[in-house]
Amino acid sequence: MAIAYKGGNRITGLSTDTRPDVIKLVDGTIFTETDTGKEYIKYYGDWTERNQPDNSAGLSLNYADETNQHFWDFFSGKQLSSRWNTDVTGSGTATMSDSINGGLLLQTSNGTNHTTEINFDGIRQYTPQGSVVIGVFKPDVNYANTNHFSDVGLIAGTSFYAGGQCLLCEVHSGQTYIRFRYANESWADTSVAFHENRTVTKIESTDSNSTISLDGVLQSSATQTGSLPSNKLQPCASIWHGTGSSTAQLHVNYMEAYNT
Amino acid sequence: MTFGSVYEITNPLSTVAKQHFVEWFSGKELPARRWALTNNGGNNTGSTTHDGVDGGYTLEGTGSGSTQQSLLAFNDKKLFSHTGSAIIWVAKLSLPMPASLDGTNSITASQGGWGMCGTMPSYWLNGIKINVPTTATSVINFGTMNNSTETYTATDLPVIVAADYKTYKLEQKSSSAICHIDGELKSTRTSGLSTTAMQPFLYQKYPDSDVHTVFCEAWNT
Repeated sequence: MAIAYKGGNRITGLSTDTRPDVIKLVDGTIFTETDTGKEYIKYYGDWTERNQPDNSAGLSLNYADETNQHFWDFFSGKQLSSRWNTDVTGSGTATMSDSINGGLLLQTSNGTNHTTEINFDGIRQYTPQGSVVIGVFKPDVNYANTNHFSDVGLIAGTSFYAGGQCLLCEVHSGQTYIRFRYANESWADTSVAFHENRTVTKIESTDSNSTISLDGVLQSSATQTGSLPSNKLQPCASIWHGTGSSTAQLHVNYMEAYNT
Repeated sequence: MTFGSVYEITNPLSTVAKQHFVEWFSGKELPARRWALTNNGGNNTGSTTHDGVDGGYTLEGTGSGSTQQSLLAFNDKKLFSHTGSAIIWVAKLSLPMPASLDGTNSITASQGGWGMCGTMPSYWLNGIKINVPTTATSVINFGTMNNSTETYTATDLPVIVAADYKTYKLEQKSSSAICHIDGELKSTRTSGLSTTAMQPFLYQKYPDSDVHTVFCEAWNT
């Protein structure tokens, strides 16, 4: 197979092919070996393998020095990890789901304002204006219900139910859009219409703004430059049942938080 | 290459991650809220995190004969798909001594394996697994398991190879199952595939079989 020049400064060939002379190529050109899957990127006059695995999770992260507070949880196994505290108001459960991609299942009963949440039991290790939280979740709150909502992100209070400052991705029944709950009882709409599909959210706080992305797309309409949190934060995932005969549920597949 | 988060090591933020987990088997004890240590006959006496370099976790038992079977799994929380998932085990089987390297001394009482399966304790049903059988003249086998039976394809690796840590990647697709050992494709099977969701599992059989592991990772594809 001959070297093939593709669009977007991409080149393909075999591992046995001589990679092209870098002098004629712009920085950022990518050469893909179709027989090995290896990719090389041209920078500063040389080719560097770019998808080579690192031998360290810490070094694989985008830090010069992996020293900031950091955690992640894949929510897999027979029970919820003991790092989490479960708070139930009314009646509800937090159990591992026996289903493909089920993760942790938070569930309420159908009592009015019953909630089930997981948090770090008031251990708040994340900076209000310099942290990131990532969550993968799937709510079951049914649009037709009244005040059923799921929240995933960071809270400053002892629990979500107790209220207080927060940075949360909220899927709320009856609302047109998925929302960014950026402070106690304060929300901003994203551009993503209400749905109950599995979603990945990333919420980032800095000293100048708070932002939310959904499935990798920054929701600029929800970016906040005022009402920034000022108190330290803990991770939280919560499901709330307002009124109605059905229960409310939230599957949580992944959570990660770190100080930047 | 570096990443902005642990999430982005395996998924770009534009991709919604499916179920995934990583276990390094490091620390003072097995994470008991994640793993269920059980046995199907015999006991699991001696199973523990191992105080040794690269000791990881060792699965052991002291029951008699083939009835001794220790098991490690997720207490039937079957989060992984029988039509699209993968698992990596880094594991080894400590053979009874003196073990023969040339196959002249048959090892008659050692067996272990690792992979994913359906409901315990039937670790021989509904899954994919590596099986390291009982005799020194045997080879490492890659097996698929459906709702009624298990069938194997022999790899070209003699059983003694499994006495050292190897990286076993087993992938379950919709109509096939694939086995890589230390990055090399060893077998593709298209029959006897699982019909149910799966959980990670590790097993040992016979009292002299000690199965060690230092890493397990599984994810839905």
